[in-house]
Amino acid sequence: MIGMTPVLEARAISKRYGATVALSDVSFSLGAGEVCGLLGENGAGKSTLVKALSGVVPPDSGAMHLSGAPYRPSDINDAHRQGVATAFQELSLIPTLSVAINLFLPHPIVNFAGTVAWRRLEQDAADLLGKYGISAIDPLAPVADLPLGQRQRIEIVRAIARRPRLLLLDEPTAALADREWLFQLIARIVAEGTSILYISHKLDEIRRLCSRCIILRNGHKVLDRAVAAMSDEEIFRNMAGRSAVDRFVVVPSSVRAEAPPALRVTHLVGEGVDDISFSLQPGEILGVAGLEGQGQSRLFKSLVGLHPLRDGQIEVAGTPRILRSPRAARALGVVLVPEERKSEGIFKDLTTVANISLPAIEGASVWGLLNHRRERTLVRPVAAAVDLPEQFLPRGITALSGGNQQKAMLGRALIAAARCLLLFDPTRGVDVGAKQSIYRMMRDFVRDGGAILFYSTELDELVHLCDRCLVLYRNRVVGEVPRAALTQEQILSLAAGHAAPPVPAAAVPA
Amino acid sequence: MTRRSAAPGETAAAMPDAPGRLRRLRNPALLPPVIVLACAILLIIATKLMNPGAGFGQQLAAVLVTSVFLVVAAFGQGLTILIGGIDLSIGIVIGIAAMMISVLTDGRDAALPWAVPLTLATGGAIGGVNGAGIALAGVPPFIMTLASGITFFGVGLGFTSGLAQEPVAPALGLLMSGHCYGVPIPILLIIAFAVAASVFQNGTAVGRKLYAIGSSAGAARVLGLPIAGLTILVYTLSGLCAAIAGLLLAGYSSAATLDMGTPLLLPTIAAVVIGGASVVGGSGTYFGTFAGAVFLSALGTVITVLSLSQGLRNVIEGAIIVVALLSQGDRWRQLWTWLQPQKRGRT
Repeated sequence: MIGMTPVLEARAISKRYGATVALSDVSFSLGAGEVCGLLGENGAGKSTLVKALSGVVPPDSGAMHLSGAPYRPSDINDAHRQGVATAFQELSLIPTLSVAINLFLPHPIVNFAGTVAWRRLEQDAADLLGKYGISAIDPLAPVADLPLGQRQRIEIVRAIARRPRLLLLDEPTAALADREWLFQLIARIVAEGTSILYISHKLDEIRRLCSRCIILRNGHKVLDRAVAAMSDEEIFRNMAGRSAVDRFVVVPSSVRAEAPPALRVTHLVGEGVDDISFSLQPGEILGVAGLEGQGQSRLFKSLVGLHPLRDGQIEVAGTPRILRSPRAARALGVVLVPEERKSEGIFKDLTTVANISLPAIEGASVWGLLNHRRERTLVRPVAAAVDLPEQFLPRGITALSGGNQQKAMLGRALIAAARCLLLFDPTRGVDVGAKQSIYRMMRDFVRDGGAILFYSTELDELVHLCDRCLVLYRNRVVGEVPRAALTQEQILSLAAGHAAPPVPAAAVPA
Repeated sequence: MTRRSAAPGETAAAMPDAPGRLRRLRNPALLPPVIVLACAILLIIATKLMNPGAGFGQQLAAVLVTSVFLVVAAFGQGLTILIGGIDLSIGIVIGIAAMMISVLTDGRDAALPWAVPLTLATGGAIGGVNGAGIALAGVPPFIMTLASGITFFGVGLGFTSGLAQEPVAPALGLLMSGHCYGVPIPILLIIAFAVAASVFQNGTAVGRKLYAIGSSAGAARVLGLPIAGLTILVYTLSGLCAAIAGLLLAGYSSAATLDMGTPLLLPTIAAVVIGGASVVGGSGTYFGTFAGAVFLSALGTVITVLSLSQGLRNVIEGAIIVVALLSQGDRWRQLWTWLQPQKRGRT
């Protein structure tokens, strides 16, 4: 490829979302017929890079060239016209429409009258499905009726059928059982000269398909090298990084091993929850790690009755309980701080103080009438416990930064008299200062005998805060790492589905 | 982001604020109602100018007396909109209640002690059916209330010919036309109702939870608020308020028809929206709804004085709703910032 113009050349691409830097000065190039892997933790900037390349969001700065010509897609259709097609991780199919019409969106074949030419559309769709080896799918079936794996295939076929010069595949095997189908397809189109940027968490796929790989971390490109030249361990270490270690204060564990477990679950089974058992002691922070979509969200929701369980037992403080609703769970001291702060956390029309006081609102009223002074008296101590400055309390919650909103969410959990907190990625989209407040609040909470189940996408948090860490892969617990052996490399390799984790020498307790 | 409506509970206490204190008002959620109320007063002054025979006090009293139906029925509508729903059966429940009270009493005051509770219970029950369908069966609110309204209208037609032959109990008529210490009784009713409604919506724990549900149903679910129970409560209250409005309307017109409440349905929605509530729920105050109801009543009086046609009245009402919707969101807040020059430039 030396001497040839690269198919894609990206120079100093940067993208910010508000205060969050998603991509910072990322440059790379891609030759014709090359398959290049793109690796990184959750939130490293992979999806943002895909969006910038596919025309979904414009980068803030930087330049892109396609085969030497400036490439600045105005939207995704413009990107298609210029020969860049994408199979998205969050599939971009329209569930209520048929497979056939989805395959040809946004411009289905029309007849002379300008309406959709149904018969030709069906025929073409059937041909296309046959050509790419998935003729088992009925072109007339609505996409919503298909299992996720088949939908993913349609998403991929649709991108390939556009005959792009550059194909972006974002986690294409996340829902695919039969990966060989995709691998053969990739071999075929690469032979035709298409270049592919292949985003995956799975190292074996990267090794099999890609000659070269790029690793992103916190929006920066940290590595761009031939895959064969690197060991698995080296790749994991580069993904995890060492950026924030010094911010963590080491404190002795406050686990109360002799007490009955604050929360014990045995053989939980439900949709997306596959035989999960664990036990959480008072005073313990039990971490949960996993790549996106490995069942962590459904596990947390099922613990407070927001996701149905088919089987299994939940014990709270040593007594078997059935937690049918968040209210039932809250009555027993089990409180979830949810993942989606915007849609499941804050009440955007209420003030911060009203947002925090809601679970205890009866305690703030006399004969059903609200007493604002009493409400303030209730909220003040929990606001102090999460470092939420008092001047923010009377403001509308949407006037607060993400970090302060999250503190208010934690304050709400505290005011509900939680004994067992289920924190789902509490530091996502939160500034550094607020993170420190959250860590401190967590330590204080367990010191006072509370228990925390803590999922985080930031591995360094898990490594430094947890007493133990469960690793989820494909809806089950594939490993339990004790504090002494807890390293980011270990978590990542378990989370990527490596059954036997390599235990590096550095994992010996310091 | 700018500040959204402040704590709903704080508005009840601030109700007596007059337009003259506009600049000193701390709560931007109060701006729309105050402006609307000022417009209503301007309209009453306009009627006075057009019809110089009557005094201002008399005009005001006339407007307030005719606003009582809307003040009551719009409270229920306001609650359903607050939790992100709507009640399209209000007009029919008003008609059913008016018919029931005249059929049951047949001009006898002696029948009122049992006829009134029965009528109110019927209205509440229709609302309860609406709430159960929405909360438990998951039927979208507008479908559920529209369908139940049509159904119960049919039931009403089955029992009557749509027009009550029996006269309304005279005591109800007296309630609407009587005076107490020189003040028309309906105005006293309005004051009592408005205070109670405002305290319920903006000063109780239950009211706060309704704001929460309307603000984010997802967050309310994760928090474990009793969404189904509160939804049923809200629609029951809406049916109950419609039934009260029906009783008063029957007393006021001293004859009842099954469809007499239908022209009130759109104004109940309009009153809520004009008062500054968000159509998707979570914001607004009862004070706003009250102001909207009084404004619409004043507008109706002006239209009557000008002897405009019913068609034109509907056009004007429709236009006002659109204007109120357009002025929702950021625009009121921009106006608010503009009114407070000393605050400009600060975060």
